[in-house]
Amino acid sequence: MNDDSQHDPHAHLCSDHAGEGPTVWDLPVPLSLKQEWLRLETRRHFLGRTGKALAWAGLASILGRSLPTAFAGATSPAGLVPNFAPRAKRAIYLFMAGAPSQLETWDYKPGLASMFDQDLPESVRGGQVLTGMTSSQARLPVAPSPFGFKQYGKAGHWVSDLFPWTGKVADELTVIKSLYTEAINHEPAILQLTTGNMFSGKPSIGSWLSYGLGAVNDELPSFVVLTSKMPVTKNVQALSNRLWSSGFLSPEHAAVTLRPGGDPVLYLNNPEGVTRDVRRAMIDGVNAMNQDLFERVGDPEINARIAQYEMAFRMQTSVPELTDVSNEPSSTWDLYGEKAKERGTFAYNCLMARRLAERGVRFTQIFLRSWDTHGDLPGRIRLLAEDSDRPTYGLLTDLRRRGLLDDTLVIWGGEFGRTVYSQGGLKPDNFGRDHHPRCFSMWMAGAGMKPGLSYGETDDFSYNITRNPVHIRDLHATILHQFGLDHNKLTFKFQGLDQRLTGVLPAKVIHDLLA
Amino acid sequence: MRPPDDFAASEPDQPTQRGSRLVVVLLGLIVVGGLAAAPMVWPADGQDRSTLALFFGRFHPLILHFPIALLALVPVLEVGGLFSRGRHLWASVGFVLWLATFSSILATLLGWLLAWAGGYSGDLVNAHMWSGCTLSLTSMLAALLRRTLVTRGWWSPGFLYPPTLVAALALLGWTAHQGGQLTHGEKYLEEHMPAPLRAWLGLPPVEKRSKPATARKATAETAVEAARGSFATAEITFFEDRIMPAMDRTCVTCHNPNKVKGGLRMDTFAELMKGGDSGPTIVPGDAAASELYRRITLPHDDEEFMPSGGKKPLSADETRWIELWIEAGASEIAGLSAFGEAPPKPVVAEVVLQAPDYRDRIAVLQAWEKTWGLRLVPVSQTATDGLIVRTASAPSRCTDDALAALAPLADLIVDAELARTAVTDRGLAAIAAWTNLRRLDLTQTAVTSSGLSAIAPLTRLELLNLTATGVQEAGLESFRARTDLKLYVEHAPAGAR
Repeated sequence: MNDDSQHDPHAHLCSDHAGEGPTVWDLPVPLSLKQEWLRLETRRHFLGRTGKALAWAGLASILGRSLPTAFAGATSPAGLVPNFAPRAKRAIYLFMAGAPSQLETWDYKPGLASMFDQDLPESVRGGQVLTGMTSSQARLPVAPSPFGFKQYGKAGHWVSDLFPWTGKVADELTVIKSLYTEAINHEPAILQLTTGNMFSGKPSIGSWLSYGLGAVNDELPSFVVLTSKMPVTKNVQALSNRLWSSGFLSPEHAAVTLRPGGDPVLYLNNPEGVTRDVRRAMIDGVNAMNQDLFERVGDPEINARIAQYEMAFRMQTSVPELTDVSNEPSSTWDLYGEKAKERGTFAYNCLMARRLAERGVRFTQIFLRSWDTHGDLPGRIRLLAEDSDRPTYGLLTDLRRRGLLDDTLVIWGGEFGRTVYSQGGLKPDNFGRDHHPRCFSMWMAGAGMKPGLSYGETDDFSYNITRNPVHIRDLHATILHQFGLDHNKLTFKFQGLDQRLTGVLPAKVIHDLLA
Repeated sequence: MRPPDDFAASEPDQPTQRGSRLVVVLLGLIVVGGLAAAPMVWPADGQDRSTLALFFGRFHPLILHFPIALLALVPVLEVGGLFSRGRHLWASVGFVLWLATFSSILATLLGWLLAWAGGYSGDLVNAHMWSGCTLSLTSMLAALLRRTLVTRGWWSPGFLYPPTLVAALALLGWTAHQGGQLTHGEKYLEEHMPAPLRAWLGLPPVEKRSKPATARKATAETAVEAARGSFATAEITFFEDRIMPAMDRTCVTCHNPNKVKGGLRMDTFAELMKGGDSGPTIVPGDAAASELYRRITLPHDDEEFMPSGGKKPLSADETRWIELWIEAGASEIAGLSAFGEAPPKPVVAEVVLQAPDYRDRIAVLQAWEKTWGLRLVPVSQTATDGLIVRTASAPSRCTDDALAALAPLADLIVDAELARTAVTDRGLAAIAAWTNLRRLDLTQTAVTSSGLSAIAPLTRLELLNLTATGVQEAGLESFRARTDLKLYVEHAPAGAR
């Protein structure tokens, strides 16, 4: 077939993909075959793999959009380039899954102390439909926080007694008290924060960054996820790779997860008797077969697979070097605490995040779960804070000392807020809080954020936002902005839309947050 | 050049044809004479007139393209006909030339209607009109002479055809240029003209936009005021700083000495205060009664709204400046300080060049990447934001030699990510030439205090990271002294690799 077609003068007439990487149109086969292929391939993708978004990515690239629009028109010698000069080279996102209560953490409401067990005024609730977990409660009694708050630093952030260590670096923090979401349950809410959409199948922030900016260090993935051992194991929300998938983007933009126990990456070590050379030869063989398959069917997923084999091979040396903390000086343990020596703890993951940042990984997301305190809130949140407070301080301090915080964006927060009223029985030191999407708090630090700023306000019940609301879309637009990316320009054509992290609804960069 | 008998054979000179030619000539003379007379009888004087006349007049910008294209086609056809394969083209020349003549007459007529009814006046408008008339005439003359040439050969007045055609083409260019100046402003063509061409044409070098404003100040009134000593300081006047720039952009294109629409000029303070056909433009102290303020604050779709014709209206701030300025007496000399409550001038984001444009040196840049297996990454899509030296994938490849090899790109580098590389003090000597360097990361490298003295002259450096290096505090005084430099010297991770 190829022999004939090489003499076919029309073999390339129909190709309008010059310079955009190989598609079937660039293969030396007759036009009629190409069209046949397109027809079959389209139908096969459509029928055979419906529901698997990656097939659409294949289609999208067949139809000529295999390059990210981020660098269409860029005159770069090296590929992916930000729209404008960035402030952040990398980010570390401390994701407090399960939703920490803003009332116990960053939204100090001293006025509530005198309102213990009083009913939440109907005017505050404003007829809001509650979740099934508290909608049948006879009363919605106000539960003041049992934890004291102190002002820290020059900026005077009010910091909960739960976070004495974080308080020491309060001046580094930009606290946002006015985030809101539409989601009232964990999975959609977490998805919305991690991927910009409540439905699964969209790329995560880290995938967008990898797609838009490429890697700094080719030896490691651009996007790494670390899940943490939990100090509390009640009301635990499942985590799944939906939260760090590449969605319709090419699979090499998905996160690589480092496991909290066992091998950090499964099957990373060669089995006994297999040397690195043997492994190399094996990968070369597999790649050659994949390349052959690619040349026959042109599916870009095959390219992604080849890339991942290569990445895995490189990670065989880069990951052991990454996770080997034996050379860390003793000052490291002073910062992060002794717990950082134990694999998989939040403290260990914070140390890993710093090591990843040093090595140029663009986006590291650490998940700490079980903040979903429907009952026994004071007891559980104390354990969670104890587990995470010092490592958080350690991470910020370490990044600052090493000169990394100037271009590393650190983000801390959960997926929504919690109610001011108690779920279930209310005692001064024992109560629960239900999900509350109308307001919640997060903080950011480093990489051009305005340190010491407290942004946005809620009413006296921390129920409704009274000043400067920030939607998750705005947060995402702001994060991308710090990476030098215009959230309206970082797009990928899929299902007839120029898809983007911030979706189709209006989103704005919150410039007031930026230094 | 042309065989004189080319068309003569097929078109014998018959009496009837002579008669018809006479009719054509007479008709043409009447039209041209009428055209010439009209501007004298009814000159374009800046009055707004009949809307029907204006309706037709506005077809001028459409019709004028016909004489331009048609007349320009004539030499193409003439030259094409010189070749044997293009001989047939000569058959069309006469037709095209007549068509050009008539469209030129029509365009001139419509142009005059536009000027007369549309409230245009001024030297440039008049000059444009006369050029248009002359062009029509010359074009017609060329057509007649060509006819003569074809029928009677070179030994006749027909030999004047080539120079007449050249003259018509020159006139065409000149007239079109005047028209362009009327529409787009007088400096439209020369504004972005390359300096050498300007010099060759004897044009003055590009002047700064603020110069005319300064020149404007030196009017008789200000001279008198100055003599009275009513302003002793050289404070910038509000009029010069805010009012005139706004008008320059919005109003002056139609209200200048060359295009005096509505009898109003707005290019100087005196002319502005003189007013136009609608009476005084500005009533000092009373914005509401001022014609200018009334016009600029009308709904944008109002017939009388200014600027008209879909030009970009004044901004809210500019409108407010004009209001405040009129209310305060419309003074030419009142200083900025007298208008404390006026909205501030928008701050134009200053484009700071971080480095020269790297695109000129793409080849050098790619060669370096290939040689050393390292990367040079643009900071952003703005090509003057500089380059990052990126080594994270293979820090060990980044040796002193690799850095020395960057010499041809030295001024492009704004950020050097050299953490964990093999760079030593010798490499620092190479870095000393990177004059635009803003950030330098030397974490975990073998550089020493003495080596660092080489980069002390890098005054643009904003961040210097010496974490886990052997650098001693003793060598850092010059860097410590710099308040604009972030310095990181954390020594702890001694054995870390």
